[in-house]
Amino acid sequence: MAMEKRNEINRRERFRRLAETHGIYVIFVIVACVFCIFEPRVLHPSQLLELVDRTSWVAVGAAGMTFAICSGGFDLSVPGLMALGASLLTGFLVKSGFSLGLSLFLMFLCVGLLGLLNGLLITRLKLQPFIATLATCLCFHGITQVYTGNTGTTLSSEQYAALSYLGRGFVFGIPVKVLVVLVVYGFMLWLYHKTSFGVKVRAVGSNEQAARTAGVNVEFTLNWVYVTTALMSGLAAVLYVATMGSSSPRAGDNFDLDCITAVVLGGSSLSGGRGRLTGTLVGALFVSFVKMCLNLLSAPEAVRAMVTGLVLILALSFGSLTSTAMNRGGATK
Amino acid sequence: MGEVKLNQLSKRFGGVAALSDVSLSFRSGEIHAVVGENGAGKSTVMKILGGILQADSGTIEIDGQLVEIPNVLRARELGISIVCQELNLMPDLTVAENIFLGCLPTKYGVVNRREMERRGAELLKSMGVDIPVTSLAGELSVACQQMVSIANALAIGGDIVILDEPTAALNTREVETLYGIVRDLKRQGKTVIYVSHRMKEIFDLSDRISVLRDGRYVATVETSASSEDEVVSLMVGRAVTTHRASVSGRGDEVVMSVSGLSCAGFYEDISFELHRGEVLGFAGLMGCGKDELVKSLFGLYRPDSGVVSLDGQVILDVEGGVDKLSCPRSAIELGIGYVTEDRKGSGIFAAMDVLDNVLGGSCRLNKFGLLDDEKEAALLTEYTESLDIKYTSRDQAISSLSGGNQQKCMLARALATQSERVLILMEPTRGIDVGAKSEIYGLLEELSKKGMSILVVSSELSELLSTCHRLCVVFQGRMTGLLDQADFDEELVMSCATGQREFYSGASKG
Repeated sequence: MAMEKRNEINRRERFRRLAETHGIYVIFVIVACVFCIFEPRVLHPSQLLELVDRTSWVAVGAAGMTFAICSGGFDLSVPGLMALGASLLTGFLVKSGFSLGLSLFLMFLCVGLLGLLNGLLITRLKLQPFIATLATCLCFHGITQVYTGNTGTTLSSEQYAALSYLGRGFVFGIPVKVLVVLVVYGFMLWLYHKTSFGVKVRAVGSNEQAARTAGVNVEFTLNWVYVTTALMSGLAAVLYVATMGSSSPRAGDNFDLDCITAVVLGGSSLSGGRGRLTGTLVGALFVSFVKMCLNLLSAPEAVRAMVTGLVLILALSFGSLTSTAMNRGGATK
Repeated sequence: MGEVKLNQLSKRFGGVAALSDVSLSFRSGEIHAVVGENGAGKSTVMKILGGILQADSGTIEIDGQLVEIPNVLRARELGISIVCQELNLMPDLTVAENIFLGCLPTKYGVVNRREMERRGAELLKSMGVDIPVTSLAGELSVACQQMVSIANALAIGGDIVILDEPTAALNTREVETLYGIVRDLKRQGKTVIYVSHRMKEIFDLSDRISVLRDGRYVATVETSASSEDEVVSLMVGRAVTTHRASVSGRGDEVVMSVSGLSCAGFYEDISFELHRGEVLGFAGLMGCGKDELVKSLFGLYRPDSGVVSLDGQVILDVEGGVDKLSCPRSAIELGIGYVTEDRKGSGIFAAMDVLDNVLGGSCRLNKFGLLDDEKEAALLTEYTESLDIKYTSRDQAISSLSGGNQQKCMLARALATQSERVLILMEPTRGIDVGAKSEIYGLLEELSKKGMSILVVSSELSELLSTCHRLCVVFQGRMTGLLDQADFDEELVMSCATGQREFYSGASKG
């Protein structure tokens, strides 16, 4: 009898986990339906394109963030990196007159090195990822302001020509950006599941000391994690510039929160070890969708903040709410 | 291959010397046991050899070559693999990933999962254990996890295998499996260094035994030419006598009575009485429900039916709607104290100091409602002196104390919450050394003499037999025995605990 009870508890535990990791899909559908009923304009093609715009850079940034969180850390420097990446890219094109290829290469190089700097602060100076990246984010914002004189840079139509295909082009009626995001997620999933790097990231996030004992080069792995998140922020910057045709020192505002929200909504564990990239993608879509709807309803700032907060709480508590409902009257406390 | 010589290793942690001039040598093809009390430095030596820690001074020779071992990777290259006592697994990785983490089969950085899982399954099969390689390590039982971490050490295929307390989480049958694995390694000519403080295992397995004490090397003896008594006295530096509980403090007055207590899935229809100054032990196999039963009396589980009274007053009557045992806080208010079996997980506040750990649950306030430093200091001194807790200053982090002293701090915390009626102790000597054990036993006796009633749950039968006045045996959630001290017998308890018979001593019947 004791056995049956334990199996029952196990089943509940498994359901709870399932609800925690996949509940986001259910909630997303519910929220989407509610908004569509209140505001059918949501489904208009131009709105859907705007959703793609918003989602694309958050999705790419959140993919990198999934690795950082899975390794047991955080990367709060992504807004700084994204703003700097966008400013550098437009700066190289406009001020320095470099070719697109060279500009992209140099931008990714700079951003990647700054990501390595994040990694080194964490692995060599043993700073907490939270604090280290919070501090570097401020520095990156500062550099951006110095570099741009705190103004945006707009690309001329020739300079924008090649990028506009990425930002506004279509292949078989599908926005190119959507394809880019899908390719990025395909690559990241491969990196996460199939490569030794992926296994080691999960190992470090799961139990750093045990990973070290098992012969994993923890410092090396973490350095590359922060390079990865930085490169993803760089890619998000490219998508931003390709969409807007310009850069702004404020391009990265709220980018960190959106990314982290997407990752957490997606069911990754904040304590590390368990990342869910597909969930992150849905999370990014979710975050952008809610923001877009509130824009569309031209809701006042106060309402926006409250609705966003409530939706977040609802989505995140789905797992524990369902298991509480199931456990009512159970024996254990 | 596999000859290891350690010359004059020393290591300090802060101001504490963990090792002083320890020299040891291990021959290839032998099983070499390293024993010592907790804090003797055995784990430190092993970690230095495994590359997890670095010695402050001293040298290491392998096969006659002087080597440096700055990290785990280097140790692995030298053929040294280590199964640590406390560093377990990565719970979010699969079994196969855990086994091969240090040496993933890859091509251009891409993991060959099929190859890894095939080799993992082969390795586990050769070890004689049946664990699915694709399940997550965190979902395995502790014993299976232990087997996986041993597989991880074997996967490297080194000549020197270090096992640091490998049997702490294993049951008898699994220990047999482990014996098989260790003897197999010896047959392959590997050097096995086996750290343990279980005498039986050491004498079953090892060829030679080295003893450490207080961070110093004491002696190495041939197992066949030695005896348990000799090794134990080398370990503690004095002869140890078996402890027996005296019944002088036990009164007839009933302090706590439990009748018909049930909790679906854990235990059923349990009744017993606890007398003043009595030490009542709970024995049973792992998972028999004894833990949940006793924890229910501290409000950690919620019984479905039954009555509990304290000093004649009903404190829990599920049908009658009385529930003064709804949570630990209310249990404490009733005068019930509790010491957890999971000191690290739910006992100490690792980052806090000794003072806060002992008095954290019972702040003494001055007339302004603020913490009263003087009172607290006086109280701390009172408890640490009466329990003989060794620490350097009250703001020393508790995690820097030895396991035994941490345990005494937990005991002090329970006492400081003014639990003068009943004290519940779960596995009171888990993970602490022989010397501290007998001190804890002494404290139990002292408390019982003062009239404290104590419930002790332990998986070590010898411990229960030597400290308790009566013993309650549980099998599959039902009570199968209630023994007076006169009837204490290891075989009798075991046959009750395995459900082969029931036994109630004459006086306890009813």
